[in-house]
Amino acid sequence: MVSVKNLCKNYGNFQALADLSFDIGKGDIVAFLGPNGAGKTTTMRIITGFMAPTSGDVMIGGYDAFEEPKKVKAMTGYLPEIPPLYPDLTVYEYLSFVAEIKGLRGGDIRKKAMEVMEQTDLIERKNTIIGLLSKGFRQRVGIAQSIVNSPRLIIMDEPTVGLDPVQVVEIRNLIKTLAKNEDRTVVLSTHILAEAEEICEKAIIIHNGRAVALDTIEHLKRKEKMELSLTVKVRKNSGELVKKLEKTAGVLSISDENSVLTIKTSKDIREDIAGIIVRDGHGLLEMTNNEISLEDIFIGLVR
Amino acid sequence: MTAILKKELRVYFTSWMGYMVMGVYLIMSVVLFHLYFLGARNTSDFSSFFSDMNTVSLFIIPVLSIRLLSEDKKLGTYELLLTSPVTPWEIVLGKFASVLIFAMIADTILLIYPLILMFFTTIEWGAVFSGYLGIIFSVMLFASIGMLASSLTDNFVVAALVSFLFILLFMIVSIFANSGDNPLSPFFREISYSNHYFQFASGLIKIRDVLYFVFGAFLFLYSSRTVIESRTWK
Repeated sequence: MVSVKNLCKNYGNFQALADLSFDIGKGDIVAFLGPNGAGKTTTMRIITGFMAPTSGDVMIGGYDAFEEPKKVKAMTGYLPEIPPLYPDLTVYEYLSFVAEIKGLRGGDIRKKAMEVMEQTDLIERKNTIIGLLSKGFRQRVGIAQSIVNSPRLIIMDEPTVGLDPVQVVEIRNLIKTLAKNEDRTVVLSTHILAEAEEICEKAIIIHNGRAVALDTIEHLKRKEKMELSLTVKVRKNSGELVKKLEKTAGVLSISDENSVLTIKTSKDIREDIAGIIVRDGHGLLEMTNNEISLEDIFIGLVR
Repeated sequence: MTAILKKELRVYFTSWMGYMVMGVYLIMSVVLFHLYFLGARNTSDFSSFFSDMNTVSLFIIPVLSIRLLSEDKKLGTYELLLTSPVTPWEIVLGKFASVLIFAMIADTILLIYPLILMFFTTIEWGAVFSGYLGIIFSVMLFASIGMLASSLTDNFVVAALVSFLFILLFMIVSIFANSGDNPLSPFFREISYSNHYFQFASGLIKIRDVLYFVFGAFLFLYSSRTVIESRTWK
């Protein structure tokens, strides 16, 4: 659906994107991860045709984004970081306007505007002036405008930023439902990793304008899981115990902080370790398997 | 294009801004009407009335038109417009047409004055008509200048200053145009705003003056379109 090749973007002397390439398949729900300033917004603005790259190509649905912008723009929906709203219009007026500039005509305009208001739970606010809406509702109007032309590709730039926790959950659920419908491809940028894990199947991690990883979140986690990590708390810790554990097959390293040991292993040997501690009477208090989170992968990659 | 035009007109007539501007314009017209036709001067000649109203538009139209694109840049809706399947020409023309229609509504209201006076004195309808057309053509030029200024910046103050500067430039060239011994004066005479406008004000409708305004407006609109499009040049 989206194919980005050797994308470069310079702002004066600053290089925002340096040779960024990736492919996104049809129907994928992809998180675009990266620290602030990694080039997420720049990439999204280029994909949506808002601005041109310094060099490189973007193909969307088989069309070159800069050779045939009209075709590409007609099949995409875009929610920028700040929802692009006109505060003087009512929700309905605004959505009809967007529907019309996105190429809908006649009765379709009203039909689609009503449909997306239903999907985003905005019917009750239909005739409210956008300027009077709360932030959460504005974000919904933003999402509604991004799907009003039934796009095959939806691009969302930090869709939950600045919302309260309840709204965050609501918006995430909304995105999840939208993504499931009609075999859509969804790309959303975020720096909240939990959000990426919750909504998306795949992740593109970008750092300093380059894609450093592109895979399913499962795979990314598994790769990192080659090394397991255990935290063990014992009552009596002597140098003896550490030595004994180090000799155990499968243990890679042990860090020792008073009575808390962090053990890195190459395979799952929790039982062996527990056995040794219990047998020698060191008093096993706690044993935790350290789950690898997307955070660890992320930090490992961007460091 | 019609979607953008409709939306802009809707904003004028649902926000206080449109009514404010229209109100100020019409209050100025009442003051001038009183001065010219009911006060000491007591004439039935509309040409100076219309050229004074034109001076009022000179200040009002840039204020109306600088928001056309600057506001979109401020609100973030510029991203919406540019990522929608509309061309830069459609954006520019839709917005330009909204200012033009708004100004035409205001200026058509001015025709009430000669209609009232008709019952008391004879009106020179030719002068009224050419004065009216003169304002409309000036508005075209001023609005296109404001459009270019607003395509260049998201700052209202800068945009306003840029458009006033351009308008001023078109006016002061007439000083050089009319200082006989300058070899370039025929050229300045051609680009001078005042020389062309005063033909209308004095009741003469000539094709070259019409062309001056149409071509001038086209030039500024074309430049605005180019500024918008340049974002997508590799």
